[in-house]
Amino acid sequence: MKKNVFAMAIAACMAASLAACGGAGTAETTGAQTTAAQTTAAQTTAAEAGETASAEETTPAETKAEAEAAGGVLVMATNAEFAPWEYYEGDKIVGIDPEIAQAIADKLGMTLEIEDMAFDSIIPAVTSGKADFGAAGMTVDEDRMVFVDFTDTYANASQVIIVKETSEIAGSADLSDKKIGVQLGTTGDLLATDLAGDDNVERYNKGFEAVQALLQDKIDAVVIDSAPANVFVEQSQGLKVCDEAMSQEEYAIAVAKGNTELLDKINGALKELKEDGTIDAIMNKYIPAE
Amino acid sequence: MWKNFCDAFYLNFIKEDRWHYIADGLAVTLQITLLAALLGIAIGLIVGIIRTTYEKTRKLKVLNFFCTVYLTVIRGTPIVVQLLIMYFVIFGNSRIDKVPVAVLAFGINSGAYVAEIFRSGINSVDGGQMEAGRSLGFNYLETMLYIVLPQAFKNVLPTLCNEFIALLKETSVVGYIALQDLTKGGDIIRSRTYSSFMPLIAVAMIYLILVMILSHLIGILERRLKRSER
Amino acid sequence: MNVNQGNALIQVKNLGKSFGDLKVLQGITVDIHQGDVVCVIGPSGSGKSTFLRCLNRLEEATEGNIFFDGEDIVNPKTNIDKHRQKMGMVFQQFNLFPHMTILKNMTLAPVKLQGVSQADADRQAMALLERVGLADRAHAYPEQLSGGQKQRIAIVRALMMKPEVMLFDEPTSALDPEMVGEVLAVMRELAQERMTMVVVTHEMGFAREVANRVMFMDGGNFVEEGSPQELFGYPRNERLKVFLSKVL
Repeated sequence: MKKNVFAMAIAACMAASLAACGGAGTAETTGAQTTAAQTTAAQTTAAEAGETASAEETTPAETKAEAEAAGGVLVMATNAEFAPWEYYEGDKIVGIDPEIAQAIADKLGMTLEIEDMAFDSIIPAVTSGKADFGAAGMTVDEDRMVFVDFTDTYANASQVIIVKETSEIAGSADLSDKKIGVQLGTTGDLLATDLAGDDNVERYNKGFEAVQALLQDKIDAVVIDSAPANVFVEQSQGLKVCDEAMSQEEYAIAVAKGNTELLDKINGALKELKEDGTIDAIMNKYIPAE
Repeated sequence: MWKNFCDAFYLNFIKEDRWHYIADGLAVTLQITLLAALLGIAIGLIVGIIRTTYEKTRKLKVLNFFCTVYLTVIRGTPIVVQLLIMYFVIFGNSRIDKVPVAVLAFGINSGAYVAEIFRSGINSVDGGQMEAGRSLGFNYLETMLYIVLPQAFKNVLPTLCNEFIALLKETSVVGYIALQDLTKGGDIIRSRTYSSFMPLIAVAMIYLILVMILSHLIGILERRLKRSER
Repeated sequence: MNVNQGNALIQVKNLGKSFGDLKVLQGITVDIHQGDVVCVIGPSGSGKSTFLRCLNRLEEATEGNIFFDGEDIVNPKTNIDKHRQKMGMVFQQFNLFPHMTILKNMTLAPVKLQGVSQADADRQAMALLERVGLADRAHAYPEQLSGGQKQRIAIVRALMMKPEVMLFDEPTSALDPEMVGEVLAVMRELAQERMTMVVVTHEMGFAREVANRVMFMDGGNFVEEGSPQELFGYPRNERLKVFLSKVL
C-alpha cells in the first residue's frame, strides 16, 4: 500500500515536470495538486479503511439505506469491447470491471449504472462529470494522471503482440517497419506509435476490428492488453501471442481530478475486496489460467 | 483565461507536432471526397441516363432493373455499414490501400444519390429539346450528350453541390476502417490529450470552412453558366 | 398542275396510329412529290400534327408504311437518324437550344453529323442568317430573341442540314400576331426555291397563296384534297364547309 502511494506520487511528479518542460504553466499546477491530492487521499484511505470496514460490517443495512436516501447512483464509464475485462453478454455488460464495480457499489450501498462508450471518450466523460468513474482495464499512466485521479490498482497487465501463427515477428524488435493495428487511445496505441511511427499504426475504434484486420492480412500485428489478447487468440484460428510482454502495467479506476471523497470511498472498498478475496475470485472466474 | 487557452492550444496542436494529425487527416478527407465525387458523378450519370431512358422509351429494361436494385440497396443501408462491408467483406482477405476502398464505398454510395439528381435534372429539360435534337438526326445518346445533359446539369447544380457537401461530411466515418481522416485526426489528439474542446472545435471549423469554400465555388460556377444563356 | 407525276419523295401507305384503343390516324395514303408545298389544315384534334410527326418518326406509326428515299421508315430496323438528317423539322415552340449561341445552334448538327468543318459551317450559317436578316444576332442566345426571330432561326437551323423536305408543325401558332408575317415570309421564299414542304397550319391565307396542294384532315384521315383554288373556292365536303366558315 505505502509503496503504491509512493510510486503514484513519483509518477505524478514526473507528469508535472514533463508538463513544465513543455512550458505549460497550468499543467504544472495541476500536476502539483495531483501529487498533493493523491498523497492525502491515499493516507486518509489507509487510515480510515479499517474504521469504515468495521462500521459497515456492523451495520450494513443502515449504511445502505443511508446511501440510497442520498441518491446513491454511481455511473461507470467503460468500453465494453474488451473481453474479459468488459464485454456484452446478451444486452448486459459483464466482465471483471463490471463485477468489481458492482462489488464496490454494494460496499458503498449505491446503485451501479454502466455507460458504454468509445475508449477514448472515457476520460473526457469522467472529467466532465458525465460519469462518476471510469473502469475499463485502464492502465495507470502519467499522461492520464494529468486529467484524472487513479484509485489504488487492482490488477496487473501487460501489452502483448498478437501475430499470425505463421508470422516471423517474435517481439517488439521486429515491429519497426510493420503495420500495427491498435485500438485508438489505448496504451497499445501509444506503445506502437513510439515503436513503429505514426504512419505504420492503424487505429481502429474497436480492438476486435484490429484483430479482424490481422486475420485478413491487412496488418502484420496487433498490440493490445494481455487478457483480451488471450481471449482473441482463443476465439480465432491461426493467431498467437508473442511471449514478450511489451510493458508492465497496472489497472486502476479513474475518477475526476480532485474528487477525493469518491476516491477515498472506492479505495476503501477496494481494500476490503482485496482482503476478503473477492477480487481474486472475480479474476479467477474470468482468467482461469492466471 | 487567455493563458488557459494558449496552454490548451499548445497541448493539443503544438506539443509532439500533434497538428500533423489534423493536417494529414485533412489531406485524406479531401482526397477521398474529390475522388468519390468524380466516381459518383460517373456512376450517377450512367444510372440516371439508363433510368430516364427506360421511363421515356421503355427500353433498357434489364439494365434499369439492376439500376433500381442498386439504388434501393445503397439508399436503404447506412454508409458506415457499406464502408465496413467494402473493407472487411468485399476486400476481406487482401491487404489493400484503404483510401481506394473508401473512395469506392463513398463513390458507389454517392452515385446512387447523384443518379436520382440527374434523373430529375433530365426530366426537368423540356421534351421539345430531345425532339429537336432527334429531328436534326442526332441519335438518342448524342442528343442526351450535346443537348439535354448540359441543360440538366445546370438545373441540378445547386442540388449536386449539396450532395457533395453531404459527401464531404459523410467521409468523417472512414475512421471505422482505421483511415486517419480529419475527424480521426481529431480523435487521435483527443485520445492523447484527453481534452475535447480544442480538437473537436478545430475539426468542426475546418469542415465548416471547406463547406463554405465549396458553396462559394459552386456559386461562381452557377453564375457563369447562367451568363452563358443571356 | 405543278404536281410532279414522277416518283414520290414520300409515299404514305395506309398509315395508322393509335394510342391504346384510341385511333388517332387511320388508313392514310398520300404521295408527296419533289417540290410540293403541302398545307395540312383541319380542326384541332383531327390528327394533323400526329400525321406530320409520323413522317419523321417522332411518333411511331402503329400500321402502314412510309417510304422515304425508297426505304420504309416505319420499319424499326431502318436507321431513322440518317433519314432525319434529310427531313428538316420546325416546331410550334421553336425548340432552340437555350445553352448555345444562335451560330452554335445552327452549326452543331452539320459539324457533328455531316463532318462539315466548323469554319465552313460558320460560313454557311452566316449566309443563311444574312438571308433572314439576323446576321447581327449570330452570337446571341435564344433567350435574347423575339418569338419571330426564334422561329426564323429554327427554320435556318433545319436548312443547315440541306434537307430534301421540310416539315412545319404549326410554325406560327405560338407567335404574337405581329410576328407571324416575318416567319411566313421566310417560308414563302423557301417555297419559291422549290423546297418540298409539308406545313400543318391555321394560316389559311398562307395556304391559299403558297401551297400547291391543300389537304383537309378530319377524324384521323384526309377527307378532301386539292389545289387551294378548288378547296377554298368549291369545297364539297360538309365538314370542310363548316370548318372554312369558322376560320375564314
